[in-house]
Amino acid sequence: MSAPNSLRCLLRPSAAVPRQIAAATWTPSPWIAPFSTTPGAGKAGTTPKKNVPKPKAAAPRGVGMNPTGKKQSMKKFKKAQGAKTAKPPLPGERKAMRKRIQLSNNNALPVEGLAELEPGTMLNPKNIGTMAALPGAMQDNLRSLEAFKATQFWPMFRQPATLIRSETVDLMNRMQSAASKKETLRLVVTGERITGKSLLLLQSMAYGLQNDWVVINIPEAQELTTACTEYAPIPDTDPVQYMQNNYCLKMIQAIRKANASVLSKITTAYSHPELPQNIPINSTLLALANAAKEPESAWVVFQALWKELMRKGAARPPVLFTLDGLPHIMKVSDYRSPAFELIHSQDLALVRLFSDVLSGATSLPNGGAVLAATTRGNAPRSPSMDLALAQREAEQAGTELPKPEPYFKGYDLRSEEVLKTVSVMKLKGLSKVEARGLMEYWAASGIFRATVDEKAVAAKWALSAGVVGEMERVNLLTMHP
Amino acid sequence: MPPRLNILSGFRALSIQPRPLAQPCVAAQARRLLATDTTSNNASQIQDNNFNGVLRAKMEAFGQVPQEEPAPPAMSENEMALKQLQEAAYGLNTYDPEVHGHKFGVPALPIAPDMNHKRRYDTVVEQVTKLLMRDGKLAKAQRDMAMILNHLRSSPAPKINPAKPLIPGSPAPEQLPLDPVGYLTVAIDSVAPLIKIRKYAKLAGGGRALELPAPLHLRQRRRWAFGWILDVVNKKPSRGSGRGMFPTRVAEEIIAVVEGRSSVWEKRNEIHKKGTAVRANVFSSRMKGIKL
Amino acid sequence: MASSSRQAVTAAFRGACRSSRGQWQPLNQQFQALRIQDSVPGATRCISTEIEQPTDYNSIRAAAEIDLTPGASAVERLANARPVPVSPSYFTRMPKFNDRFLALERLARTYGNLPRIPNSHVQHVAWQTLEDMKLSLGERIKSTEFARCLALVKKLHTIHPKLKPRAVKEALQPFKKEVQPFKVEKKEVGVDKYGRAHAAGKRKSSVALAWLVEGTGEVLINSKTLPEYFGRVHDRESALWALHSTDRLGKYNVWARVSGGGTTGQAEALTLAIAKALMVHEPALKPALRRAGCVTRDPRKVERKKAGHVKARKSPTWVKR
Repeated sequence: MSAPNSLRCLLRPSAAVPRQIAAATWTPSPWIAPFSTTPGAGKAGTTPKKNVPKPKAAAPRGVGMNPTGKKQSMKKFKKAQGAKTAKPPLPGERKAMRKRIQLSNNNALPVEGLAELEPGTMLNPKNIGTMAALPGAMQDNLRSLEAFKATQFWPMFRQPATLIRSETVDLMNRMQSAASKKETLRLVVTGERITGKSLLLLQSMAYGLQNDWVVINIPEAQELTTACTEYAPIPDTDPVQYMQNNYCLKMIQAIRKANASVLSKITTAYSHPELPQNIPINSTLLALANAAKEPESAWVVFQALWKELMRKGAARPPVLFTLDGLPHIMKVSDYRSPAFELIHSQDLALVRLFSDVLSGATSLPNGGAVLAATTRGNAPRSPSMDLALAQREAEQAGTELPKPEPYFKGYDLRSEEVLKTVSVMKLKGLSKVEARGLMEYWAASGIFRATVDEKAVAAKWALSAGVVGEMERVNLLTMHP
Repeated sequence: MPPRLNILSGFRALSIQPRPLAQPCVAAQARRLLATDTTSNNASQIQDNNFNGVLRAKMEAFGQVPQEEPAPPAMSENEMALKQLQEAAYGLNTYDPEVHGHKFGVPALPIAPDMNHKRRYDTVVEQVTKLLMRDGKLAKAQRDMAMILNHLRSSPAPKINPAKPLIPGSPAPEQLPLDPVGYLTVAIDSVAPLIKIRKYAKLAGGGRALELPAPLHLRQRRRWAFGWILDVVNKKPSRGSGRGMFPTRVAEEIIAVVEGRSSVWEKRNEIHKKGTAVRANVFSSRMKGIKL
Repeated sequence: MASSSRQAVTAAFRGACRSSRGQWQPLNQQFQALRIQDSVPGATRCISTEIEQPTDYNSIRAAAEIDLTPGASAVERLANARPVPVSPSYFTRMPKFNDRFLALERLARTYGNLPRIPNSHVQHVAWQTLEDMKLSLGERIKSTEFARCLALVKKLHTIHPKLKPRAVKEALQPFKKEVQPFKVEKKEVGVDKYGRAHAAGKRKSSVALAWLVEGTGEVLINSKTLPEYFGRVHDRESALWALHSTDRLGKYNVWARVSGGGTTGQAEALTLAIAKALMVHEPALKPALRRAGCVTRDPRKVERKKAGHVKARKSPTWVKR
């Protein structure tokens, strides 16, 4: 029965195996991004696929294994099939549903006397422990910057609002002083799980948007390094750097949408001959950003935009550059070079741009801030980053620096170099005053139904150790009514 | 062998018994003075206050202390301890749990029923959570339950179908989203069947089973109702993906039940109709000698 | 009257002695109590049936040095010299045991009639077994002899503790096991000088040790905070239920060590430990805590696997032949 197959094993594949099978077994493995050596030919990688016949049709069915040709199932019983009457969701619809961010809920009770965020609200230490609502226009801007995340508890409330905590006031004051002195604030936000790192970035973006900064955000650093977006080498770079045109285009569009009012006030000071369309000097930066219409030109336009923003001049606004998910860029990426070697994240041009500002290699001439937040969920292990941040923390506290393990080989010097001189802000639990402000807001929204007093605050604080995300889990995701 | 004459055996007649133990009444105040407790001053101050407060409250309850009477002068710790020792000597129990043995007050007994850690959740929530559980994963079921309640809370008020009235005594539909547990309870109790059909094998003749209506307890009724809801939910495709989808579908079905759109109502009507029909079998001659 | 009573006393003692002597005669005859003595010519052989003093082997001295002075001939002296064993039981099969036995016999004769307490009141003592005794003495002890000896031991043990002579206590000591499992030492429960109360709790196969101190509501379990240690909110609530049900959250700090078992077991072991520690601080809370379900140890454990079963109760699938 198995003789023909066994014999086939002994033969050379080119001679005996039908051409179709050989072609079917060679399919580019899906986890390697299509690669092209010519710039702007991102689609070239898909071309070999077209000649390949569909593997499903070509593969001979059940060779020697399953003569019935039926799919074998390990399950003992057949699973009951769901009703087929409903229309199946369109491709991408389910993911869109999962990623959907709902910022308001008309069924929640409106909170009386909830103040809206104003440019100076987050600078005032008196506001610590109060909630501030995000104004409607800013919600759209933040949404286009992807500052909100699907895992946060926005849909429970009538209006998005954030808690002003002591770290918020601290950070905003540092940002303000940096902008006024035309310095660069370089800071990494760390902390345990759900301590409010991403929300602190959101608050800084809100501050930037309200105070006429240019805000640039990389919402998920893993989108840059996990080989899920197209990439191509930048010509004439040594060592070779790689641009990510599709991501770049998305980012320019986000910048344009979020900062339209600021960008429309600034005019270009350089001519940019390399751009696909002519942008004369003294046209607005918004027009420059609008030049990016196709992925091919995105990187060039972004460079031009960056060059304009980096020009020293009185009319230039401060820049806020934020990145969430720092460990993802502190390691070797999942991309491959033409020699099939893994590319370091720092060789990706966009990442490099951010790291240069973070490390202080380039400074923002008009002042501003560059903020990075670490992440504890789905984060790769980055021992160099952990060590560097621990060392910076020790430096700030004036204690003895932790030393690297002498026999550990997994350190990454390029990542360590980036974090040599940054300052670190470690987020911890809320104080009881802040916790009380948060719980009073929940009570006013009709979610927390008991009276908010010292006892209730102490109880919930003890269960969550004051960690803000845990407070939410204890109060908002509970089987207690 | 007869017992020998022995002088020592004479002692046997004397019985020596241990001295009876003193009554175990502890003079807490005295103990506190003796203990090397750094917080004793502060704590005893609190106790003093407590003591006076409780004493006053007790006396006031009997109408013995007029309001205008000045408070008795505070006793020193030593006097208090001596007083307690004296009380103990008279055989009184100086240890009063309402006064001593606590620092921040004693909760009123009996404590609230949900203060027992085995009954911390609402009964309906508890039962439904266990019904949601698959493969013994209680933590997942609890998370699902919390998400269901959140979905109910953040959904608009249901529009009641007059043809499918809710259980009598349910709150106004506008109030339902504010109380998600009540929402769930109303939905389940409204579609809960009152009876089930019990089958007696081969009694109807020709090998057929004889069907009889049998009443259900409250818990059983809820179980039937939620089982039907779960059947519908499991057949529905979800519109999105991720772990929030199952609770979303359950919550949507609960809303559909309250709004009268759900197919669960038909199941309930069907079983009630059948129960009415097979009521005739209750006094069937074939049931003679069979205990219901 | 007095004389007659004195006669009675002497008669009673005689009776006691006589009865035991008859028993010991054959044994005594076997003993050749030999001592190295400065032999006096014509000295009689010393046959002693009993040692005069109570056995105190430390006080026994070797015989005086042989006098080799030229007054008498050395040969003559040496001819009469003979070694004397320390114990009269030296030539028996189990000399050490016999010595003890004899000592006990003597004590029983002396103090056997002291008032006793009923068996139910006697302090529970783990006595050495025959095997233990054989190992410790290195002698081949007969079980019947041992049984008789132990009966004597138990009889002496029932003497009222306040009247029990020191000699009896000392004689009984070597018959006790080194480790006394029945000896329950009641632990001092209380708040220590730093204001901490300590208690332990168990559930399933988890063990929790908790230290409770007045504070602001901070919790450290195995040096992690509560949300770090228990990811599930239900478990966190369980762990602090004693404080929650009595409105003490935020009034005490907890420092705990937990080991063994899974998360549920560890959380509920903590419930018990914290409740017990809380009752040390505030004994008046016990009724409330009992109603909150925090005082009782949950005795349920994993059911053991049975032979012939796949698990505790599951049977293997039935196969025809």
